[in-house]
Formats: sequence, C-alpha cells, structure tokens
Amino acid sequence: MANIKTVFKKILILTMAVLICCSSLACNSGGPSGSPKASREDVKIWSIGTNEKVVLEGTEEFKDLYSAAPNIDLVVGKNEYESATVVISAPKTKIQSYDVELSDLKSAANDTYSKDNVEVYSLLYYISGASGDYYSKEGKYPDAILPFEKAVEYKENYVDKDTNQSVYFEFYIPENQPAGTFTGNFKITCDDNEFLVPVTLRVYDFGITDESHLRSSYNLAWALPDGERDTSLEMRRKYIDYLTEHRVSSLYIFADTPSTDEGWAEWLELAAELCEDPKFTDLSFNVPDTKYDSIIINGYEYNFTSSLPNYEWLADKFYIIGKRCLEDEEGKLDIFKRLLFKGFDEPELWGQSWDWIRGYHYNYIRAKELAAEMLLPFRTIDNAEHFDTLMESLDGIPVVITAQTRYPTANTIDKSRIDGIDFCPYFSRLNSKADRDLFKSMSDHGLWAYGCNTPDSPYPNYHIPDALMSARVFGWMAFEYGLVGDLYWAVDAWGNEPDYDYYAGKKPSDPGEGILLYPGQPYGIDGPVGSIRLNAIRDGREEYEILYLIEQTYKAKNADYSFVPMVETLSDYLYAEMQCSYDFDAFDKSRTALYQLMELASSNAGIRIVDVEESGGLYKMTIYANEGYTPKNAGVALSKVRDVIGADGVNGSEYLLSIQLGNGVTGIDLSCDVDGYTVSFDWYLGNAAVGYNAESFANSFSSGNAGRVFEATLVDANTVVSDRPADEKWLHLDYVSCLPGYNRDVVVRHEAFDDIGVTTKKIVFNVYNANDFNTMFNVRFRPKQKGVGDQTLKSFTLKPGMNSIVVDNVFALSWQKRKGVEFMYFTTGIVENKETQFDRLNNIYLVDFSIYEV
Amino acid sequence: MFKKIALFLATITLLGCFAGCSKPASTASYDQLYTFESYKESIVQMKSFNQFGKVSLNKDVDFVKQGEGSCKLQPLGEPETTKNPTVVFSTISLPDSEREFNYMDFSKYEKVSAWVYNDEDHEVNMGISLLTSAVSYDRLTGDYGSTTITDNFILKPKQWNKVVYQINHAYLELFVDIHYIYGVCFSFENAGTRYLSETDTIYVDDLKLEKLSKPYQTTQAHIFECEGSTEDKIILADFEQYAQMYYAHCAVYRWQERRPDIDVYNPMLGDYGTVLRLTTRYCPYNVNRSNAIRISGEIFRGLDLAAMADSTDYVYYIKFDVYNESNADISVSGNFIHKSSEKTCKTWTSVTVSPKTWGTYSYQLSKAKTSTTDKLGNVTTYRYADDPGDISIGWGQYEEGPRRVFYVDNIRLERVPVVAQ
Repeated sequence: MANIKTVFKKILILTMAVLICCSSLACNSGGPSGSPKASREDVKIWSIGTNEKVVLEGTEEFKDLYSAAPNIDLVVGKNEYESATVVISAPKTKIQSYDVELSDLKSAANDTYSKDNVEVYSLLYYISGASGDYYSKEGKYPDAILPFEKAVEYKENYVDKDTNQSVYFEFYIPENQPAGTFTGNFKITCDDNEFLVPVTLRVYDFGITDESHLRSSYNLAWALPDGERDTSLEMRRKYIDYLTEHRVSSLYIFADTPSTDEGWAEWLELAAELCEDPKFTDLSFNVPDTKYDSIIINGYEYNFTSSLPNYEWLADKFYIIGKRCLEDEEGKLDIFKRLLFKGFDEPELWGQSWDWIRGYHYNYIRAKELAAEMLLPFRTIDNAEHFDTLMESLDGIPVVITAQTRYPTANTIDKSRIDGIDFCPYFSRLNSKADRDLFKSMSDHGLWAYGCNTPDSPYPNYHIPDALMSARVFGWMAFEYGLVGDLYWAVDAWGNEPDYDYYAGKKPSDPGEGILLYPGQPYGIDGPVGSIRLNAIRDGREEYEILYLIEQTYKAKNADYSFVPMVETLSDYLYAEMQCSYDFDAFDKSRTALYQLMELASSNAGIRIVDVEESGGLYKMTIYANEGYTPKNAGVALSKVRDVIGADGVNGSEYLLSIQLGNGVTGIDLSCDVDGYTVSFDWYLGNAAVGYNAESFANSFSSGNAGRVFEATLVDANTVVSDRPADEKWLHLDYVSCLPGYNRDVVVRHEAFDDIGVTTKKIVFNVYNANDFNTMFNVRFRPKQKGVGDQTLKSFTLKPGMNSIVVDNVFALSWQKRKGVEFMYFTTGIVENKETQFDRLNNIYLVDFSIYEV
Repeated sequence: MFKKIALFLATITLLGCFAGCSKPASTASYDQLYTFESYKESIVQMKSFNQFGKVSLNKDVDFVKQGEGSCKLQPLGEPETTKNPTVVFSTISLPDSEREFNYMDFSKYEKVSAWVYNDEDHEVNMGISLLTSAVSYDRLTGDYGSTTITDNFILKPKQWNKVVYQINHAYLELFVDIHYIYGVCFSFENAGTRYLSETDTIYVDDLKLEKLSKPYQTTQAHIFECEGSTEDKIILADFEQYAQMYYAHCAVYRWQERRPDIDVYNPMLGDYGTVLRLTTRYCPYNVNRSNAIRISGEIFRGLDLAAMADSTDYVYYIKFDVYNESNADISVSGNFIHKSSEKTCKTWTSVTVSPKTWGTYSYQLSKAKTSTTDKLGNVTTYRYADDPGDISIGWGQYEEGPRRVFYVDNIRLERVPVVAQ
C-alpha cells in the first residue's frame, strides 16, 4: 500500500508540475521569457561606409565583411555633421538586447571632442522593392533614424536571428572645436558581450558657415497632420526647423494660404522669423487663379480658356510683404530674396500648351511690376539702400516650371522667351553640358533641378534601395554645373489612412519616394523622426558649402580664379554628367581632398589650384602660391610662370605643374613647406592610355538591318592627309545606304571593349572627317546586362579635319547595372527622307582608339 | 489529506490556466471602446477633421481617470473658417491593428459615456455625435450627412466631467443603419488659431458604450397591404415626423450660394399634412450644374427592390408628390444614385408642376433594373434596384425673380394593377 501511495503522490506531483508548466506557457503570448543570450561568437560587429546600407534579413552574404574589425574613421570640418554606421549581425542566435556607450575622444594635444556631440540612432527598416536602384535585392532597407533611447524605451533594441541591425552615429563638430585627430572607443554591448569600436575623427581647422548657398524647395504639404495627429503650426514649425537644420527648406510654411489680414500678418511674422535663419533658403504660398480673356505678351495676343494666376491678388501680397520688410528696424529683412513660386507644375506631363504657360508666367511678371509701383512711394532717403535691394529681390523671384520630359524646341524657346520663366527639369534631363546650357539660357533666375518619383538610379534620387551616394553627390553636381537649387515634391507623403504603418512602408512600389521624414508621435517624440536619406542630402549640401567656401577663398585672391576646374577633376570618379558612379572609396577620397585643398588655400602659403587642362594624358595645372612660398611636386620645386597681385593684399605667383601620365606617373604629389610644417595634396589622376590602331578594327564592323549597308576599308593614311606617316593605316567608314527614318548606324565589336568598365577613366576616338561639312557622330553601347537599355557615350559633331572624341568618366556609368559593353554603335544620323535614302556618307576615317585606365 | 490538498491545488492550477488564457464571455453592462493605454491601441485608431489640432497619448497621471493613460485633445480648427474641429473615435479596429474590436452595432447600446477633464479655467463646449458613413471620412464638413445631430455638453473647468450621450435609436434609424456606426465624434468650437498654446486642453478617458438590457428592435419595413388596389403602396417618407427632414441633404453643398433652405412645414393643404419644403435659390443658366437635393437611400432599407418585378398583374413605381408654391412653372426631376458606385442611373424622368398645384413624380421601377456596359464590358450604368442609394431631386434653374418654393411629400413605392392603367 505504501508503494501505491508513493506512486500516486509522484503521479500527482508530476501532473501538477505539467499543469503549472502548461499554464505559464499557454498564457505567454510573446516569446518565452529567459531565452538564451547570444554568446560572443554569435555576435558580429562590423562597419560600413558612409554611403552604404545593409538589408535587415540575411547574414550569410555579409560573412566576409563582418569578419573585419569595426571602426569609425571620419574627416570633418567645423560646424558640420558627418555620420557612420556600425552593423550588429546575429547569424545564429537572437541578440536579446544591445546597448551603446559613448566616450569622449582625445587628441595628441590632449584636446577633447565631447561625446555630447554624438547622437546615436537605431535604424528602422522599410520594406522595399529593388526597382532598378543600386541595391538589387528586395528586402527591408534601413531608413528612419530612431533615437537610441527610444529604441530602448520601446524595447526595440534587439537583433533577431539571421538579421543585421544598423546603429547610426551622427557627429556634430562645434564651431569652437579645436582641430586635430581625435581618437577613442565606443562600446557596444550585446547581451553580456562587450565590443569596442575604435573611433578616429580628423577635424580640419576650418568650418562652413550657417548660410546655405544652395537653394531648395522641399514640399511639406502632404500628410504631416495625419501622421502626427497634429495640425498646429507649432508641429509644422518643428518639421520646418528640422528640415532647415538639414539645409533644405519647406516651401509652404503654412498648410493653407491665409485669407484674412490677420492670417497674412501671422504668415509674415513667421516668414520674417525664418528669414533670420541663414540655413533657410526658400518659401512660398499658393496663388489663386482667375479668368483672363486675353493677354498681349511681346506683341503676341494670347486667348486663354483656362485660368491664370490672379496677378492683382499677388501684387497685393507682394505689397504687404514689401511693407513688412521695410518696417524692419535693422533695414535687412528681405523676404523677396527667399521667395520661390512653382509657376507651372509639370506642364508637359499634363499636356498643357505653351501659350498657357506663357500667360501663366507672365502674370507673375505683371504682379512684380505692379507691386513695385505700389511700393515706390515708400522709398525714402533713409531706406533707399534697403528699398533698392528689395526691388532687386522682387524682380529676381524665381518662377519655375517643373519636369520637362522633352528637349526644348523652337516653340518653347523662341516664343516663350519672356522674362520670368525658370526651368526646373528632372535631374536626368540635365545629363549633358549642352542640355544644361540650353536650360540655363532660358532661365532668368538660375537653373533648378527637380525630383518627383523619377528619375531612378543612377541619377540623384531618394529611393530607399538606392545607395546614399546618389543623393549626396547632387551637392557636388550643383556646384560644378552651376545649378542654383533643387525642388523635391514631398517629404511627408505618407499614406493618410488612420492605420498607415509609417515606418514599415505599405507601398513599396516607390520605396521612400516623397518620404524623407517620419512622424514622431508613434514613438512619443514631439517632432519628426529623420532618415539617413535626408542626412545624406544634408551632407551633400554641406559639401556644397565647402566647395563654395573654397571658391570664395580662391576669388578673394583673384576674381578670375575658380575652384571649378579642380572640382571637375575631383569629381571624375563620383559621377559622369548627372549619373552617380557609386564608387564609395572614390567618394571618400574626393571628399578628403576638399579638406586638404582648403587647408592649402587657407595656409600662409595660400596655395590654390586655379586651372587644370588635360590632353592625351598630359595634365597642366596652374598653381598659385603666396610670395615666399614655393610649391613642389614629388619634392621638386615648380617653375614660376608669372607674378600675381593679390586682391586680398598678399601677392604671389603662379606656377605650372605639368604631368604626363604613364611610366609610373599616376598623379600629383603637391606639397609646400609652410613656416615649419608641410601642407600637401596627393591626387591620383590615372594610368597611361592603351591604344588600338585602325587596323585592329578592320573586321569589327557589321551593317545590321533596316537596309543599312556599310563598308569599312583600310587605307593608307597619307592618301587622305599627305603628311601622315607612310606606314599608318586608317579605316575608311563608308555608310553606303540606310532606309528612311532609321539611324544611319553600324555595329562595332572589338576585344578592347571587354576592358571598358569600372576601371576605365576615359576613352578617346580619333576620327578624321575628310568632308568639307560638319556631320554628327554618336557613339553608344549595348550593355552586356540583358534588359538594360543602350547608353549614349557621346553625341559629337565632326568638323572637317581631325576630331578627338573624348568620353570622360566612363567608370561612373553604373557598371554594376550594365555589366560591360556588348558592342558599340557608331551613328551618323537619321536618314530622313527618300531623297537621302541612298545618300552615301563616306569620307569618314577612324584613326585610332584609346582606353585610359583609372 | 495530502490527496485532498493535491487535488485542490491541481484544480486551482487548472482553473488558473484556463482563466488566464481565454476571454470570458462578456456579461458586462458596457463595451470598453478606449482606455487610452498605448498609442498603438488607441491614438492610431483615431482620425481628425477640420484641422483638428492635436490628438496625443497622455501619460501624466494627474490627467488619467483610469489605467495609466488618457487621450489629450488640443482642438484648433481650420483658421479663418467656422468649421468645428472634430475627432473620431473609431468603433471598429482598423486593419493590422494590435487590438481587434468591432463595436459598430449600436442597436446594442443605450449610451456613450466618457470622462472628460477640462484643464482650462473656463467652461468648454464639446459636442458628441456619431459617424454614420465611412465613405464620408474625407468630407466631414459638419454641413450634412455623415454625422448625426450633435449633442452639446459643457465641460466644467479643472475637473473631470462625466459626459453621457444618449443614443436615440428611433431617430437614428430614420436615415442610417444603426448596426453600422463607424465612430463616436467629439467636436469643439473653432479656436481660430493655428497655435496649440492658444487653445484649450482636454483629456478623455474611459470611453464606454453602455449596453441596453436587450438590443433595440429596428422597425419592420412596410409591406404592400392593399393588393389589387390603386392604394397598394408603401409610404417611405411622409415627413410627418420632424426627424424625417434629415432624409434630405444638399447635393450641391459646395456651392453655398445655391443651396436651398430645407425644412419640414405644414402648409395646411388638405390631407397632406407636413411636407418637405424646399426654398430654392437663383442660379445662372450658364452654370453647368443642376440644382438638386438628395433623399437618403436609407428610406429603402429593408425593401428588396430587385425582387419587385413587373408582371402581367402589376407594375411598380417610385413616386412622390410635388406642390409648386411659386408663381412660375417648376420642373422637378428624380434621379437615382447607385449606392456603392455613386453612379447616377441613366434613366430619369421629371414632372412639370404649374403654380399653386400638386403634381406627381413617377418612375417605373423596372427602369432601375437596367444596366449598360461599354465596349470593353465595363459597367457604365448600374442597376439601382440592386443597391439603392440616394434619390436626387432636381429642379429647373432660374436667373431672376423671387426664390421659388416647392414641397415634396409622400415618397412611396406603388404597386399598380395593370388593369388600372
């Protein structure tokens, strides 16, 4: 019996134990408590470049990267931000929690960079399709920057198994920060495992100003009130200020256009306040339309069936703005200078007539003229200078036409050439100097660039699956090409459904498009949550300010000096025209070069590289140095060309630096001894060229279809041009015939094309035109990657005689997408009609072809 | 003894196990709409209108009535307008919500109650109404239609106020389906400012739907009762009840200057009793817009129009009477709007009524059962009878003279014997 009792007792105890276990398990809806913590081996800490992103899911593909030790190494100036990303991967086991601990950084001179200047964020992930952007993998990409303390508060500081969590460090360099190299360690703790991340911060001894010289118009006009559950101006102001701190401006400072005097008084006060912030550049308001029967513009009478902006209403608003500015006691307020109007939005996309566009913009001119008349009685002796500045600013208010999908035509240029139109084409429509010059010539107040859903990679864009570099290099492009600003359609175009999951992205078709900020309220934040894309935009605009600063420093010496020629060299590896190269290492080097060049210019030696010429691998650089200092290249003093009287009161001389690439020479090694120390600048220019003569192309041509008949024949060069060497052969290109309506083009295949790609700096075709007339000559290629469209390399006009067709920055043509060159087309234009169908085009000779390696 | 203790413990454990895991059947006298404990459980469900101001989660215990949080409201309103800022507490959880609920069936509830703290030194006026149409979310103008009439409450300063909104089922069912109430609306006076610092701060907590002892029984739909007679009809709206005025709303609400005045009125015209009076306004001929009001399609609730098929014995009609109070002929038309597509049926009729006389508008129901398609097979005209929405009642434009008045009465379905025609 005792045994039975004992057995019963044991069964009972066992049953109870099972029941208790069941009860606790059944009720636990979340993960089991007390889950195992990750061991040190289960945690991988690694770092990525400032332009890169790592998807959330999947760790295996990053195995090689996360085996390297993490580090943060940044080059910065004062009064700027720069960021670094450290990735925590959990390939085998979930990391239950991670923590970050910052430390002050120290320099050799025992100066301190305070940890208080560093913000730590946990990146949130947004589901994204790849949609032809830089990253081809679909998945969740990092974007929103959630303050790390909020990640802890909301218990989101964990890393699931087989995922990667990015931790983002944003450094701000105070204006009073001593220069120097600061080092230290940040500590990341994952479960019970501590990891040190070495940090190096190289602070240069100059800083950018608060003033933004690159204008911007980023629309804050969509779903802010829905996301924040807040329609107040206080919240709107938080968004405006956040954007302004990122050097972009919200165009519409009110959600609505005021309709009463009180409303306009409020608007004016806010506008005046924002104008005091030097980082703020542009603001606007909507202008109501009204019906006008006809308008005479430059002698043409236009009749309109559609409404036009009410110019009398607008003139009244200009009037009250002018009056408010004149009331400024300091005589400085200039709201006109910050005004921008979207004159006609995407007219070509909507099929609007150019007549209407002309009328539309003409009414802005009428409003300006009328307002100027209305304000004139308020000009006094005391305010004359302020008044005249205001009138200049009023006249200079840009009224931009966005988009432009087609080339401007005679219709858009000739008849529409009235004052007051400013063009704002897509980034992609500015992809050649010819196009930029054309649009500039038609824009009265400068040329803007536009982004709205398109373009995609490799052009500047703000898609989440694109690398950050495409957004960032716009600052460089704007400086090099003389663009005055950019207009982006939305920063808060979240869905406005009540349950929209702002952070996860329910609509991945255009991932992140129109969304640069996120609502803070879901995380208890009183204001917006930023994004790494907006930070990249800011960083690019800060680089614009550095470029601007150097330009000003150059011009202070001599008004004719410009930094642009050197920027054209520095940007060689960053982009081709408006197409980003996605060469992250090159970006870091070019960026560092900016700081070095500013250091050279601001040193007592005052060294400036004021001109750069290149031909056939021969570089000639004009270098200025102050009196008493001699620049050297590779330790050899440069030869003086001429003395210069400095506009800043310090005279100096210009020196010539001449370099022929090849024979081991790949760049410049500039230095100068300055009062006991040496300033220097190294820059890699590239290798020598590999040449291919015409004979190697003898069997490379094929005629193709569409009635194209082409013949290529080797001839002695001296039969074409008598003074050519006797043994030199040229290839006679003979376009025999082609059907009307088709390009007169020919397919060219050559083994040399296999070498064209990310390592190619430029390619040069020498072509001789033995005709006595100009003719077009286009070169384009078919990418090896199926489904990717043909890429034009050069549209060229062959003049009579020898022509050198140079295609620069070939490496920047998104080779990760195109994979290589399958073949090329040489095109000499469209055969337009029957009469020219058999119009033979010959007397064109291919002389040689060269590839320059980077 | 041990056995007893062990069995007792096992029983307790088992009970605990099940008690902790399953939701008990609700026997409470109320459904808890919101307690405002977290953003994702509450604030994310809310939608505001007319530039409401700010809706946020409060965790300051000084302003919490129940639990650990409450809802903080800082109403502003669209500046330079008179629209009332309104916030909607949804009665159904939105897709992907962390908390799933559906309290749309207001036949179960007697009242809506909430605790509201007025953090001001002055009294604050607050209105409560019900959101009756989800599609109206984006056009909640306060003008008409999508919300019920607002009950007003005065919130005393610096204290919690218990507000109780009594649900008037008899009134509600005149024009909405009380089984589908989309939300509870709290509205406030327009503060006329864009700044939170210049407006009132209100806290809401413990928002409940208090239950009836048994669900409200909706009125049975009328049936044809006089078979074979010319009097075989179903009166859908005779405007004898004041509340029936709310069947009518303005289709041209955006054009304030053209909206007619609408009321119910007894013109003392024979047996007609109270009628719907429409005092129209001048409208230029060159404005390519018809003047019209709408009668809510809810008048057909409970009726299967699609099943009312003409036969050799009967023909079905939708009819209403019109009296022309003005001194000029007036042409009154009826048009029928398919509910889910919001498309107007292509067939319509009108009646011209001479001054000071009655006329009858008549529309054969079989016309509401035709549909058309385009070349691609897309439906261009929907069968109204399948999904009856509003009836649009329009009238001719006029440019000058006094405002013209006409009455509408006895909107009805008639089953007319063929022999009688």
